[in-house]
Amino acid sequence: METEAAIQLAKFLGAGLAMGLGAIGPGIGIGIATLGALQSMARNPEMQGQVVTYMFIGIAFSEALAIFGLVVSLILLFVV
Amino acid sequence: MKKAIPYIIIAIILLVVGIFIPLSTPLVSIRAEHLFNLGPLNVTNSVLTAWLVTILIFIVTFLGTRNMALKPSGLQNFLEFLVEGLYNLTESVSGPKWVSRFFVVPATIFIFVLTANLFGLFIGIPLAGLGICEAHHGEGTQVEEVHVEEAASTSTCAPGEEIIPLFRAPSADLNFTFSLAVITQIAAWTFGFMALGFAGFLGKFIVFGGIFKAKSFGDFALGLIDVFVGLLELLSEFVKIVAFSFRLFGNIFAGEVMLLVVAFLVPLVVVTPLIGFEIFVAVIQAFVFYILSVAFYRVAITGHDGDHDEAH
Repeated sequence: METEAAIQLAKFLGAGLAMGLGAIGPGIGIGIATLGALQSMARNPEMQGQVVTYMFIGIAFSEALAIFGLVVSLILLFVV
Repeated sequence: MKKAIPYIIIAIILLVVGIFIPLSTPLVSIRAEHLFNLGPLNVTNSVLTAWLVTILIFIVTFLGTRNMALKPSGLQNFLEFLVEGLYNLTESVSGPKWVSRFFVVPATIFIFVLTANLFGLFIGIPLAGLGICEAHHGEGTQVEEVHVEEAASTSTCAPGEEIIPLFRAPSADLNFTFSLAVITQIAAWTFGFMALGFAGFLGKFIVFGGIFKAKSFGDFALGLIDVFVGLLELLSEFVKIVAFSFRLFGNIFAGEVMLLVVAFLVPLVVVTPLIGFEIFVAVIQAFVFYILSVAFYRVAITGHDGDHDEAH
């Protein structure tokens, strides 16, 4: 296969894999964070404000990794 | 069940008719499409939509606060509900001392981004063939040219030209979301300096004290770890800008692309629940931006030892 077509193939494949595989971990992580938050809210409803705050911070850190995958995917498609 | 029958019939008719309506694929581009030039200013469709959102918010607020009553009703009631809800939520996160300072920028961003996200759902306009025709400008790869050859289409453009949608959610433009993220982070750093002082805030990231005060090897190792964690947190302050901007951009842009592609692939009525989902995503993403800003402000004003000085 010529180099040009091979590069296109690799680009699309890489972009798809980057986003797809990169979302598995953060998905599980966000689920675990929300599980912990819901359990603690059920145990102790008056701590709800603080719990929700820290849950969102935890979700943000986990989601950042998925966003890095998205950035790599976009760079592969549009910049390389 | 009986009341739903006319709607079911309409839906079935739309489903059948939608199979036969050919639709042209509007151009899908990461960059907001250029519409016209206002002097040296490059007005893209997302800039136009942002102006519309600003005017809309101004009109709604003006109408709602014209005759301020002590017991609000109607539009004023809704606006007070919005502002008070956000204020109480901020107060529950930040404590009463900082709430008036934390509240301003994120609440403005929330209201603007919420309205702006909803404007990206007008996919009917480019699909119906209304819009500005522009010659297709390649954008790096042939990703945008992946559309099937259509024999007939409702496009009013010459072949080789694509329809540029007039409305595009401003949050689907990376410039907009990046600016919002930069503003939010600068505010966070400002609050950090206000709360902890210049040396105190920087002392959260550049922590060499643990090494010098070490009395044993264990303490020295912990001090070394502190140094690296501090540098990692310094890097993460800048990574938050990227994360904020790409989270909002990715969600809204991906939603727009999905709506356009699904409208091209399946009969039109199937797009309706997806538009409902996109409304949900619009509200959630605006709220997530808001609550993360406030949460990071809260983290920024706490000292290195994580002292909780605010009572909840």
